Amino acid sequence: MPLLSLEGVTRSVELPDFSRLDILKGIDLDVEVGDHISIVGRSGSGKSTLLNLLGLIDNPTTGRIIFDGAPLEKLSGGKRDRKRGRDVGFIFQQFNLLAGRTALENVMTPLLYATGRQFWRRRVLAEEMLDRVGLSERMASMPDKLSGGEQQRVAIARALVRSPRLILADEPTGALDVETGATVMELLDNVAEQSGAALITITHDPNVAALARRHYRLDNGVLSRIDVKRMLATSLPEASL
Amino acid sequence: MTWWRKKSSERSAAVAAEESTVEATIEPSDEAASIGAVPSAADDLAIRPKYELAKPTKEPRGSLLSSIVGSVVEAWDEVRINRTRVLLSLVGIGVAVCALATVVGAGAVFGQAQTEQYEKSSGRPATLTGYPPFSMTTQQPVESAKYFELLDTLVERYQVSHSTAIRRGSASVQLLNGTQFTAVQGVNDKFGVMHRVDVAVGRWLTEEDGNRLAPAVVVNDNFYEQLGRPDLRTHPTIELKAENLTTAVIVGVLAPESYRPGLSLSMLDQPFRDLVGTKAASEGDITYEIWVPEEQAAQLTDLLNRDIAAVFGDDINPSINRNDYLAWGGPSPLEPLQWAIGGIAALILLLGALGLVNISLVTVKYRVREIGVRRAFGRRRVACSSP
Ligand SMILES: Nc1ncnc2c1ncn2[C@@H]1O[C@H](COP(=O)(O)OP(=O)(O)O)[C@@H](O)[C@H]1O
Ligand SMILES: [Mg+2]
Repeated sequence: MPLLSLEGVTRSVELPDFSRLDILKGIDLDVEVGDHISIVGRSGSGKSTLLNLLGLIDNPTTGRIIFDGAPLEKLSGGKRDRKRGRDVGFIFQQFNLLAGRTALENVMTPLLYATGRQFWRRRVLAEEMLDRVGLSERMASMPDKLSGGEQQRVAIARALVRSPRLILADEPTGALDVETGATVMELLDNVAEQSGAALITITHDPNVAALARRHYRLDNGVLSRIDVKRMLATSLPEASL
Repeated sequence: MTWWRKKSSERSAAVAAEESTVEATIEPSDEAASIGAVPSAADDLAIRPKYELAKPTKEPRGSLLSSIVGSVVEAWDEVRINRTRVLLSLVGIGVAVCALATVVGAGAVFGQAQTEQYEKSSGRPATLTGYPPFSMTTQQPVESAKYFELLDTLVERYQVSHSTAIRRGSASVQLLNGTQFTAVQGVNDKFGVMHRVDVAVGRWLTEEDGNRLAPAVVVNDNFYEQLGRPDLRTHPTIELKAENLTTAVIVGVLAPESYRPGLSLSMLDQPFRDLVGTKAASEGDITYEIWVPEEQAAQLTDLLNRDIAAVFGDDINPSINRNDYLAWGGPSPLEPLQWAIGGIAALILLLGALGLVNISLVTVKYRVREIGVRRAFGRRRVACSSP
């Protein structure tokens, strides 16, 4: 049984002039435990919209999302929030660390919404997680005192600290230079693999996409599987966009 | 050579190393089963989960304790991070509350003072006032002594507890700086309650004062000052001279009143008449006041006027009128004050509310983003914060 299935999922929004914009058109996707999937696409192709569906933040306009065998429409808002907190970890392009909180406090944030051992031992767990991303020296630093790469490592620690089964990364290297991006991706890939979580990386950088084992391309709201070698060969010019 | 190619070769080494450690720590039963159930897409999965992480867990019921503690921790962090902002808004609310309390309180105090002022001068609601009426046929006022006597009997008949004749005149008195004139009024003991008389030293007149040989008087503060503020326990006396000469004992001093600068004193009705003589006492500034419950004022006025006409004849003008500050119906003279205070209070509330709105407007942009991020990590939706 897949961890997450999308069956004919579409998403449309109504624009201020009452016309409809179809952002996603009939997406089918199965995500298995331990999968590593990449989705590439130009900006505006609907990548973030898809990610919000995968992360149980938004509802599809039509089609079904089945998470862990349970159709999403059957879940109440609160159950969904809990499921998201426990099973999904987010990493954003702009890091989105909470300002005014130390790295450690940022990593502890998801554990505030946890229960039991994870909640009561949140400090120790957060410290361990920061240690795993190599930031044990910077735990007390504020986000604005950290470099971009360090901030994204804090964000990775935050996404993984509740041991999610699905990690969603939206352009995780988009705000980093190539070298730092490579290091951060390597770290994310390793940590995700060690935890056995499924990792979905959204990117417009084919080099980042190549790290995944299954590759998709999103074009005008249509998702199609692609061959990684061909992608690397054909889309290298695009990477320099 | 680009970094990801280099990296993938490194990774296979890392993977191999990983695998050897995983082998030792893996839990055999359910975890293996769940992984085993993974179909084709997991074929190239070289790694087995090392941590408990990927284990499907039972849906937690959301422990009440941890969610309460979690909310408190989150709220406290919020206060800690936005210390200045929280402090400012608290100060703002505090200032608004203080201002509101001050204005309303001051208004109440001022209103009460104003009411008492009205009541001191024109009597408490409802005060009926009687002047000796004119006879239309003789064009003469009726005899005041008779009129007052009649009122005394009527007041008794209708069981009115508070009433007094008020006669005003003047007398000369010897003070520290020579002979001066003082206003004198003759009233009975009930006048004190009816006009909220405020005695600062000593006491107001009593019924027993009527038995004294030397009449008791209550002087105003100015009078007392000009006497050199003698100790009342020494029973200080004054010589009053009008038609007749009287030696009076001071038993009380009124509280200072800024608006009544002259000399004045009050004594009981009988000694007043002895002092100024029967003629002056029946012709001067004389009234009769009756304090009755407000709801009976109109009915009693009619009854009294009818009874007076029965004695003095139908050709007299009705002599009993309601005369306190609420007598004319319509809005209370305090209404403008109440409106003003209400307006100021509303203004303060508005300003306070604007301040709050302002603070929330400033934070809302930053908050929407932050709440969005928190929601991504499992924060529960609440009514006011779904981004
Ligand atoms: N809520 C919305 N209302 C209107 N348009 C939207 C909304 N969400 C997304 N879009 C539009 O849908 C398209 C896809 O958005 P997005 O998923 O953010 O693209 P990407 O992340 O691939 O750059 C964009 O043109 C965007 O303007
Ligand atoms: Mg995007």
